[in-house]
Amino acid sequence: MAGSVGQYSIGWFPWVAVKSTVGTWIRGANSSVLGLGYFYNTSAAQNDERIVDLYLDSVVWKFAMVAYKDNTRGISTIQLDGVSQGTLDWYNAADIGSQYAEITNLTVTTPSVKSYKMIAATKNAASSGYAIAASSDAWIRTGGTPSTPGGTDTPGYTWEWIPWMASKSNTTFDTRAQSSVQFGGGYLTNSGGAQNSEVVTDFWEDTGTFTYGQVYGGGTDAGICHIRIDDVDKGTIDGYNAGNNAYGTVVGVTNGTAGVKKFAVKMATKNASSTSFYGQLNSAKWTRTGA
Amino acid sequence: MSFPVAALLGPRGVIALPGYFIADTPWAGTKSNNQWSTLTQGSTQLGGGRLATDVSASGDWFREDHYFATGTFKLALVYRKEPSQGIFTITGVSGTQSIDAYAALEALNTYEEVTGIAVTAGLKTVDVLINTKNASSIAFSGGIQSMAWVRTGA
Repeated sequence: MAGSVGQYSIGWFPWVAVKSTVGTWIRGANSSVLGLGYFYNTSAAQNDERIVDLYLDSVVWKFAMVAYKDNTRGISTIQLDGVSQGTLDWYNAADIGSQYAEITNLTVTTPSVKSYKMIAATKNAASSGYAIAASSDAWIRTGGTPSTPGGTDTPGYTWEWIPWMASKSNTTFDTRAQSSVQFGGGYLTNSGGAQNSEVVTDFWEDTGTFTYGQVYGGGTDAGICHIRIDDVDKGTIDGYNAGNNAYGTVVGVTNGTAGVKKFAVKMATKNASSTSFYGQLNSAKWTRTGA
Repeated sequence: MSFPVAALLGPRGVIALPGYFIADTPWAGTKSNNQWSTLTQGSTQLGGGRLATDVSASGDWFREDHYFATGTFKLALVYRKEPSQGIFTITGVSGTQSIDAYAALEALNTYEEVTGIAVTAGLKTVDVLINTKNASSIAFSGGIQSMAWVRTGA
């Protein structure tokens, strides 16, 4: 299927919009969870659902969700075109927000538009209802060969990623930290501050010139973020004494070959004044600015 | 002898592709802007904050590029309403979409959508402009938490 290229790391706040729903769903603000809110079926009825359409290439994916757990929650059944890909149980005896769960090794055999449905079809026997309160949804390519590595018509012009939603892989860079005073309602961090900590995911990048921008933070222990494409440094953003909600850019990054790229933020070096290689990443975004 | 890259990659804008669900948080970055680049964080805001106008003058805008599939779309914004806000005029996808951000009282996390937008496939330059306002508004300010384009039909 020539030309069928999709994004390979897709993550979003479910409250931004859906194609359709069954049940009563609200956008709830909550300063104590990642994203500072959730999309929530107040009806809490069996088979409440929400749908969006996504283009998924014929590769191996994982699905990840961050959601609230308590004793009223249902089980999310994740469907593509009506076929279950697995379930995630949000029951817990005690209330607890910002819980991450994933379903791995999901093989898509035909690249096409898929109807992604999250349906509260079942519940844990101990739960009193079918409520699902999600802070994020994400689909991440974890393996497989893209169907059209050359690419033709592509979405590789603007790509946005909220790292705490999910990543493809990491090296000691996988701690989700919630914060009510930060963009994204939190961040992903290498909590040990180890040198060469790295978080990795894929995206599809067109040819052209790009600006990379990230919202990030850091104190006296922060390292320098090395912004890398296919294991090559494209620029750096120093987190030393950045505070919260800093915004940094790397401009004039050129890409000569359209295709799937390995994107990484690696804490490879540090400011001479810094005591460690700590990283705090709220968002990452690539924007094509020229041919 | 070298082949032009375009010959290897084929024509652009022909095959409908992955632009079926575009969820965007402008505070994470835009392509370009005019006086619309202030990151305003807040603990009661969905997503943790909004991209706000730098001043309250008419003519502020920001721009992003996205690839859209052919079909019918809805535009959905989560944004801040209050007495000094202008009207968002959104162009570049198909026609003009307008959303009035004025309200007598502040309302963060306001969700509003414009449905039935007929789109042809291709790269679209999306411009969000404030150059008009409700007669009751006192200025042309704006603050957007998220902007989504959702394909709802063929």
